Order: sequence, then structure tokens, then C-alpha cells
Amino acid sequence: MVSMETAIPEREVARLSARADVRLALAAGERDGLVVHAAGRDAGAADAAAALFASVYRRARAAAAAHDYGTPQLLRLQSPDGEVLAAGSGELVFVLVAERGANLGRLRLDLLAAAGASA
Amino acid sequence: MMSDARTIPVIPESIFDGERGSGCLIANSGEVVARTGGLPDGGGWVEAMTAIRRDADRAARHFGFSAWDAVVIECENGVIGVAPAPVTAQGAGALAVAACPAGSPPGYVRRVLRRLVSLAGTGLNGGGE
Repeated sequence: MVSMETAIPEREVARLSARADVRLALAAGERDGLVVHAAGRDAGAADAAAALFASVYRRARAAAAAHDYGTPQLLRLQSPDGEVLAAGSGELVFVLVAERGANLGRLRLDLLAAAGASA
Repeated sequence: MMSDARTIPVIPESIFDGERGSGCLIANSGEVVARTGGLPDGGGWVEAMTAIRRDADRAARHFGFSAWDAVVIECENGVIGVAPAPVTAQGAGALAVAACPAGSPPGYVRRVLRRLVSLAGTGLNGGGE
């Protein structure tokens, strides 16, 4: 039986991964970096992506706290070949790997909406 | 490698185009080798930044990215940007870090980071403007 706690992140990951310009979407535990849900054509890379970006998100929290900047809301790894976006939601972090040339403005909004829906 | 007895070069505030901000260059050793603005004392943020660089390097390899340009962290009260910087013979700048006001446009943060990276590549002569 799927609880509400897992249904919403699963739904949001499915929604994010449905876009043609998204290679991978996942939700992972921020503390342990373990995948909760993953989808997309690069879903095979989810485990490593989750561990890496949960780690980056934790470091981002430390840096934000040291600067007295509050909570990180969105994190972006920018590259000429694509972009990875991450947003925290309670104990989870949502990660999205975008193709080169993706509509990043739209993906940013979609990711923040997903994180907000799961909070 | 810079010794503790030497004054840390000051990065010109002009890199911020008149806006508030702080920035620094961090060497591979984890030492802050140039700075501007009010950077936090302690809090482990330098270690966090160097760890982000390692994770970003791994992530880029994992996803087949040729390189990564920046990690941008949008927070409630500010934006932090991190970019890889060239390592010079002086040991300066393996990492450029910029802290900008909340709501700073992505293009602005990238511009500040590019200027920091450029300074790392050309070296710093010490002193400020």
C-alpha cells in the first residue's frame, strides 16, 4: 500500500521526468543520499546522482548557515553540456538532470513546485 | 604557497558593479588566498566549498559533462556562487566563491564568478582599490 508520504514524491518525480529535456529526475533522502524514487532515461545513474547531490545539498546548507543566508532553496550545477538542479523538501532532496539546451527557467519552476508539493 | 605572515591580497570591490557582496579565492590546500567583503569566520564554510568542488567534479564525470562552470546556491537571504579557478604557480585560486544579495540574477552571479576566476588566472598584486 502506497502511503501519502511516498505517493507525492513519486508523482512529482514522474511529472519531472516526463519532460523531453530531462534525463533523470529523482527524490532522495538528504541525510543518507538514498534514492526514494527515480525516473527518466538515465534512471540507471540515479544511485550515484542521489548520493552526490545529497552531499552537495548538505554542504550548501553549511555554507548558507555560515553566511547567515537561511535555507538553500535551489542548487544548480551549470555546465556547457547540461545542468543539474536540486531542491530540498523536508528530509528529501529532488534532483533533476537537464539536457543541454533545456528550458531551464521552466525546469527551475517545476522543480521548486515539486519540492513545495512534497514539503 | 602563501605563508600566514603575508597579507592576504584584497580583491577589488569593483567586481560587484557597485552591489554588495563578498568573494574569495581558495587554493587547493583549502587556504583562502584572496578576499573581499565580509566573509564569515569559521562555520566550516571553506571546507564545505572545497567539498562541493570535489562533488561537482565527480558529478560532471558521472553525467558525461566535459566540465562544469559553476554551482549556484539560491538561499532565502542570498546567493552563493562557486566556480573552479585555475591554479597558478603562486598556489592561488583552485576555487572562486562569491556571495551576493538575495535575488541576484543568475547572469550577475556568473559575471562576478568570471571576474574572480580571471583574477585567479592573472594573479593578484595585493592591496585593494
